[in-house]
Amino acid sequence: MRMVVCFKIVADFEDVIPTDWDHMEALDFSYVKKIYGCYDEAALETALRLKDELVAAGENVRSVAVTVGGGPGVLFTGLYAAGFDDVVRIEGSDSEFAPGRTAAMLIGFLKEEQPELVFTGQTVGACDSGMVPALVAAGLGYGWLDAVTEVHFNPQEKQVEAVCEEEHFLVNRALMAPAVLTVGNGTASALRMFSLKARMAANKKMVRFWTAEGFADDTAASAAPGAVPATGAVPAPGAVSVTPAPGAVLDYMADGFYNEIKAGSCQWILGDDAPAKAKQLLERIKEVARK
Amino acid sequence: MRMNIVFAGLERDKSNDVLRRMNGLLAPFFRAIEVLQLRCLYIGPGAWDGAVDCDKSATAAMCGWLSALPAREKALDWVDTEENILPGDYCEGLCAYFDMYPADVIVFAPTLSGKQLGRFAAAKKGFICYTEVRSVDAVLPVLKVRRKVYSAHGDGVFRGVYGKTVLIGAAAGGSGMAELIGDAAAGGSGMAELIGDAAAGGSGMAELFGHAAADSCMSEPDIFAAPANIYINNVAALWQNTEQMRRVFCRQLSVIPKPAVGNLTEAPLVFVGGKGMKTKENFMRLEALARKFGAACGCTRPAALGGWADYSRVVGISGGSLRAELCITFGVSGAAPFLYGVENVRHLVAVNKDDRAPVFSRADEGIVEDCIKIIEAMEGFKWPI
Repeated sequence: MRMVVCFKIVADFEDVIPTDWDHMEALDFSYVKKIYGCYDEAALETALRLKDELVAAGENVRSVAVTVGGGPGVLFTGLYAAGFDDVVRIEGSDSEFAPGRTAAMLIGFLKEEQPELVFTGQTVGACDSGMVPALVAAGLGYGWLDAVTEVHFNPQEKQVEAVCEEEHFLVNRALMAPAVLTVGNGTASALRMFSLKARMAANKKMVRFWTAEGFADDTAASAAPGAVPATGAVPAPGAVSVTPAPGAVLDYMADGFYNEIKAGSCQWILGDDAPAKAKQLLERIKEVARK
Repeated sequence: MRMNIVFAGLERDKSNDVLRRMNGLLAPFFRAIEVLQLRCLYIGPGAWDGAVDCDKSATAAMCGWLSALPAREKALDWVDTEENILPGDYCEGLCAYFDMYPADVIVFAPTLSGKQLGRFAAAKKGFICYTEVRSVDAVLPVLKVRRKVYSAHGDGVFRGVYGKTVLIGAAAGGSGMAELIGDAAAGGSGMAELIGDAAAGGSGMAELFGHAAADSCMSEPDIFAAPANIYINNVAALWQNTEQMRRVFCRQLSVIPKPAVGNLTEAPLVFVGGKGMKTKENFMRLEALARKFGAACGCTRPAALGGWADYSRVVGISGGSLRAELCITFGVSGAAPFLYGVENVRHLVAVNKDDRAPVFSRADEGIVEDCIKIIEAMEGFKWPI
């Protein structure tokens, strides 16, 4: 059984110096710590839990993590330490504004890999509208489950069972593989911890480069400012042509960015001690209760 | 201009709220451009997700809402869905619908199902899809869409292409919409003039919903007591003719109710706990305190990640957006994705022991104190007085 997790490495926006947001036209994240997209991290862990379940049942599982664009090597090799069999970096420029382009590159890789299950995070990155999973599913002709919180797989029947979030319910659905599963607020939210021994072993593994034909000319632009190539990374030997998702030619067209966070006008509630301050808080609650 | 609006996964108890939020998104179009043809497609009555409590009254509400919108020609198209069909199956029919009734602007209702279907339809058609749209600037030939970017640290303005853009509003009752709705309610701008009487009754849609629902004493939609200016049209044939419709990918095994959290987004008084609560026990004390004061209790995403509360309580960009009269945050630092969720709160009071916490930049009032001590003090107050 083969599973592929599509993930993305993004800047941790909480690390950005607050005044930098005043100049949104020229943001520089090169000094900012890089992390897995938060839903992508949930997707990575969800896939690993499914792998554990299947391996315990005697199933042979190949798990691959793939990303478009660059990032610190430690985040790539960390995935080996966590339990992935192969970590792949697709060369080519990745942009928050180009879900069609990103999806086309992923589709090319996935056609070669032929996985039963494709995991993605619900939303990633800075300006995301959650289009990449939809484009991938549409491009591959796979079934698609969104807002997945939990996944099980029956390898004999090639059937995936997933709990999906709806407005007021969680719905347990069964779907025939191959399928794209988009992980939302799931039971697994953070990537597992791993031992130093696993980390040392992972450092010896190579991150595989995969180049999509027609996108290779963008390699130089692919690395985000400050990004470090993965440890021991080597280019993939062959390039494979990419079939874009049907009609996936339109991408985001940004006109400008604005930061209109209200200036601080906070009035301090003062008091000698906590009960005195809490008493004033009670007055505010009384006002609402009166209304 | 021709406009298509698609409703999917519309629930009876939420339809009013969804329609109200749609007003905010649609008002700029109606203000700037004459809508010659308006088609509203209702995919339901809810069997699409199998679990949704949605019935004819939602259709009736939509019909009433549609009748108040200013367009020369109006049609309510509907397709009665089979159970356990995924958006992927539905998209073939939806694409056929868009081919048959091409539109300059396509808007999907901001429900989870609507977002999923909208994205997939856009992917199939090669359209741009913008979700969590705060506002639009619709002046022909330019369509500009404003939405949150960089985890709600700012707004981005993006260009759309008439005829090739899908718009989906903020699912969590997001920012921007509230102001428009507020204006409409006050008779100020936007929908108030546009929908006349309907707007006079507060947000307008409640009135419409009431009347429309009262008229919905029918057993089948095709004998719907529809307003005279709306053409009702069953478009199921577009779906039945597709290969995909016959190919049922998916079976529904069971439905699990989410934990009841009360109406977090609509509650007038909300307490929100963050990582500063330190332990699950402390968060449970906050929940008890909220119950005592009749408040809804929300949490930040880190608190939910810590297992202190269910994800359905999360406030912020990945959860709900509050419209409370008063919101008190306890131990919340105030990351931008969280602040997105309290943008529409009328009065925000923050309790945090760090006076440099970002939450104070948005708060109307602040208490610099250990939130546990404040909770302890509030536990001692008599309520109701």
